[in-house]
Amino acid sequence: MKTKNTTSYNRRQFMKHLSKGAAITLIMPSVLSQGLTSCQQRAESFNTLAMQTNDLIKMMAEFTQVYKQHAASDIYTREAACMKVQWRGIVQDIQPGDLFAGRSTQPPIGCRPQSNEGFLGYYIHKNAIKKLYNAPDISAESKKTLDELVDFWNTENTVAKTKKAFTPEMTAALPSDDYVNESGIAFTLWRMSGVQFDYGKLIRNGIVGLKAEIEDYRKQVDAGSDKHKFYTAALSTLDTFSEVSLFYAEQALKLASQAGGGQKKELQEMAAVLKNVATEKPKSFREGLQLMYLYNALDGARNYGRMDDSLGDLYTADIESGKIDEEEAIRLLTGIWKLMAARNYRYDTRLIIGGKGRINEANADKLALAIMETSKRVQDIVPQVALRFYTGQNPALYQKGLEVLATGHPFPMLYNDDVNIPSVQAAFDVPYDEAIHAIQYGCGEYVLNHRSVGTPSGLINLLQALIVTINKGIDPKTGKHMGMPAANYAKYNDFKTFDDLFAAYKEQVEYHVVQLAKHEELEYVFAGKDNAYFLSSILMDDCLKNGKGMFEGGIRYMGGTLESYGNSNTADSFTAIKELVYEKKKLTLEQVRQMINANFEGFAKERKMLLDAPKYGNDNDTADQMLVEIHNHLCHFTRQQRENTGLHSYLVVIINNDANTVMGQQTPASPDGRLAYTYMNPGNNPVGGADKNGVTAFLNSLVKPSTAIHAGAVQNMKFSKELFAENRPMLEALLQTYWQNGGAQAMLTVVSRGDLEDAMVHPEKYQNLIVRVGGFSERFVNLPPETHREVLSRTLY
Amino acid sequence: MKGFVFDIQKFALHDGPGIRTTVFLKGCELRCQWCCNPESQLQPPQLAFDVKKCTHCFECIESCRYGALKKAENKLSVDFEKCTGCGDCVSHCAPGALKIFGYETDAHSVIKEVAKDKAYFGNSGGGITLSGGDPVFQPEFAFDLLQVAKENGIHTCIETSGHCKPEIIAKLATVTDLFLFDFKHYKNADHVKFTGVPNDILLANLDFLCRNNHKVILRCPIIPGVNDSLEHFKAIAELSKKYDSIQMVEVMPFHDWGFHKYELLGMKRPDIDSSTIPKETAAKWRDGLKKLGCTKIKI
Repeated sequence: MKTKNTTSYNRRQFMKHLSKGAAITLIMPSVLSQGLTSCQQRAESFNTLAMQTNDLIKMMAEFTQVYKQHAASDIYTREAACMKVQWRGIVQDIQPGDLFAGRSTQPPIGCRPQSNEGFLGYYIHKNAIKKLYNAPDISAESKKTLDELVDFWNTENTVAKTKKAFTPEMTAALPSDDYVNESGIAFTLWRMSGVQFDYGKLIRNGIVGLKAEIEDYRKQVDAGSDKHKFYTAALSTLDTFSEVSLFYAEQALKLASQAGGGQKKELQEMAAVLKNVATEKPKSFREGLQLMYLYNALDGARNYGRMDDSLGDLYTADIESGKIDEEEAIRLLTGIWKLMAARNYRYDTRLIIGGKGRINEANADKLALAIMETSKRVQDIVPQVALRFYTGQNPALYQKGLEVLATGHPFPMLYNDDVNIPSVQAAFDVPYDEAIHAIQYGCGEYVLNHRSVGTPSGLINLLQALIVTINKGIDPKTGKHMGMPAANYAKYNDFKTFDDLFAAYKEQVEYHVVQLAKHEELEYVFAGKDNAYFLSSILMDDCLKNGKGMFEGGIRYMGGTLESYGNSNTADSFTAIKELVYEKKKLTLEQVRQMINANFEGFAKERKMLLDAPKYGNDNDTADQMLVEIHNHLCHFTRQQRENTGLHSYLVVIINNDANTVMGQQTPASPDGRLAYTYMNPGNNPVGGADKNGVTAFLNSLVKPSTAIHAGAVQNMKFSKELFAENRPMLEALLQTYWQNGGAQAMLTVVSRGDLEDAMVHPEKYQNLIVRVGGFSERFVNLPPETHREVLSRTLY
Repeated sequence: MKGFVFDIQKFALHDGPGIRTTVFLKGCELRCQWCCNPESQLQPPQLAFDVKKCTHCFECIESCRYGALKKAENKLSVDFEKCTGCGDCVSHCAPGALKIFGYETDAHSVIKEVAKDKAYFGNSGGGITLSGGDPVFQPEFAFDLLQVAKENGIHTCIETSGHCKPEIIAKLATVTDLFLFDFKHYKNADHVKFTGVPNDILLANLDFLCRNNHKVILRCPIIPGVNDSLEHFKAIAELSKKYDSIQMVEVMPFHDWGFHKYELLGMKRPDIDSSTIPKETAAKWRDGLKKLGCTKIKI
């Protein structure tokens, strides 16, 4: 089925069209026919893809039935069969003005590597289920079905099965995964995030090429072997992809028949694109984009790899042949950006451009420039474009990045290959040729692009660890025991010396990290026991070669990461304690304990002493050294856990999302003077407002903790628009020096009027915001309120 | 050699070329009526009291050995005459209403802090700038600072009124790469009237520097009603034409952004029209200067 005879969806033709259609029929004829019937029905009454409540429940029941029917079979066959049902709950309608298909959602029961509500593998979204129960159109029969489904999946989901396998030590150290509502030192996370696919392979080969590769592998193994089943199911899953693509093609044509003018042409074009990429190699930039996006959406992955590299050749070919011009390319990219925004994974949706290790760098550079231009025009919170750069790279990319940032858009985030590549080599223990493929996902964790997984499956709140340690095992918030056993404190001599306290804190942290690492491993084991995650594994090295899913040991590097929070608050707390309790003896540790447990009520003067102690972020060696010590301990000890587990690497990430705030809201007051239940510092940044010594001092502090012992740390920087506009050479010199000094990464915010207004209300957060005042510069916060208003009117209009 | 500093500001972009660290020295002989750094005028450390931050807890009163802090009508009252600037009260003030401007330090400590940004200076053509106050008010300390900076390979700049003995300027010139030299009023009598000192000494020092090929940027604060006259602009233009050594002329429109500090320090707020100067007016001044033949105006 090329472009002819496309007015209605025809299953028979589709089957004929799929050269490997036999793979499907081998798997589950009965289920297939059920799916087929409903597909055909839908194709005939094709008004909407979005499922109504009762249909959705029916689909989930069918999904569950298929799952149950495979109780005795292998996981591969089961997964492939489940996918043939599930996709109907994923696909969403093409909307007016869409250039690409692939709007998607997650059914409340299903299967994917990472899903909402903290799940992986086979999942059940309890909140989504609640909504279904409350849906006005739910039938009594559906309710009954839903009861049965909930009953079944509450114990059968992958997370529940993993939890059942917890050791007593793990349960003791990791009692909760609800870091939003409970206080704790360490929490588990449930997801397999951060898969960055080999989109280049997908686009260079197309579905047809991928299938040929899998077929080749299948020929080499015995029929009936596990690997044979693996390859067969992989092929079947690609057929499901083809089916989805054709399904969308059908919808596009249907919509085209109802549309007029340009819209009609656009939809017809979309249909032709979908039809081709359903099975064939993409032959244009547009087809490449569609293939990448739809494949990603169907899998449920949330990141887009090195897009400049995977699509650079198609982009350049189309531009050079005159098929499209740059404006058209930007229009197409805008179409993709629109779908990404609708999906709204603001913590993910990473898209990497630039850097070493790209196959055709010249072509990729061209696309990278168009990508940045698109982001500049669209100005949305996703995609999170990250620009890698190295000495010798085409300078136009870096310059373009700054140009976009100057508009106030927070992307691209900047990543310095000169620092990151050697750091990754050391931290991940991989050769240079692998380290050049380190890219970020989600909130800034590094993985080796399509070579490794590195999902963060745990959180550690270092500040809570310290607070509980000072209270010898009691959480001041609940008054209950927390963390390492009470008996473990006996050897620390009532914290008579600073070293005693520090050693106890370290043991507290280690007690949790050991179990967090084991938990990561356990999560992988169960993730692998339940699924191969075919769409992911097909594009992850060396899963096809090994004939295994990525979490079954198919992936080249099975890595893990641990998110740490409150690092700077913890370091500042130790600095204050060391100086005021153990050196100057102005306070006792008991007084510190009392005042933090009282949230400093009645201790205003003492709190000021704590606040006045040196703080990380001011290029102050005392304070910065403490941060380095905290950092080194955590990172080294965490990294050692690969010896205790089967993980290739287990590394700390010091990243940026809202966990610093959310966990902070459960964390009592701390000895750095921070008030109870308020945010902690973000990423590798100083505590908000603690950096008062100017931007160069701030940057000098940031480069002190080693980058070669973890899997990513992020730093936020705020600059005024004026600095970008009027002092660009100085800004560039500033950043250049930061990079030379070992700066690995930067997230730049160029502040707008809104930021200045916020600075008036919360001046403590803007200590480094410098504004130009007539003939000199002044720290914004040093100016009186009336002048703030003056600055607002003068500098930003 | 020790001296008094009241601030070290990093990433200063407007006190000479490149990325600079500006060290503010305390003490100045001039009393310019538009001064926006009143905390810089006296050399010794000074107490500042921000009544808006005070919670009237009176915890500070006992800490003062000189009886400068009192409770009056249920509010804290500060007797600045009695205050010695010892700073004992500051650590007793939880809300941070009491603060000391200025501290004593030595050249090596200051330059150690400044040198932390050497890489930034190198990449931007920046360095250290001494400002104030007026660095010539602490000439030996200023010399030490600049000399140690030079030993550390740091570009040196000094912002000064130039009102000092000629031997001081001559000595400082041996360790200074660039002078940011203020020119406040062409007419001697008005210079006395508005700054408290005559302009003949500083003009002689400017002449010395220029004749000896020391690099100078002429900084000209323009205050409406004080020196925004045609004659003054003519004098600026003449100086710029007369001396090749003057690299650039900076027109600095008046602002009152530091005036709130007078109150904090128990000082009288200057009696001067503090309305904001529109951008267009400043542009007009620069244009006028250009028409008078000044070709080195900084935009």
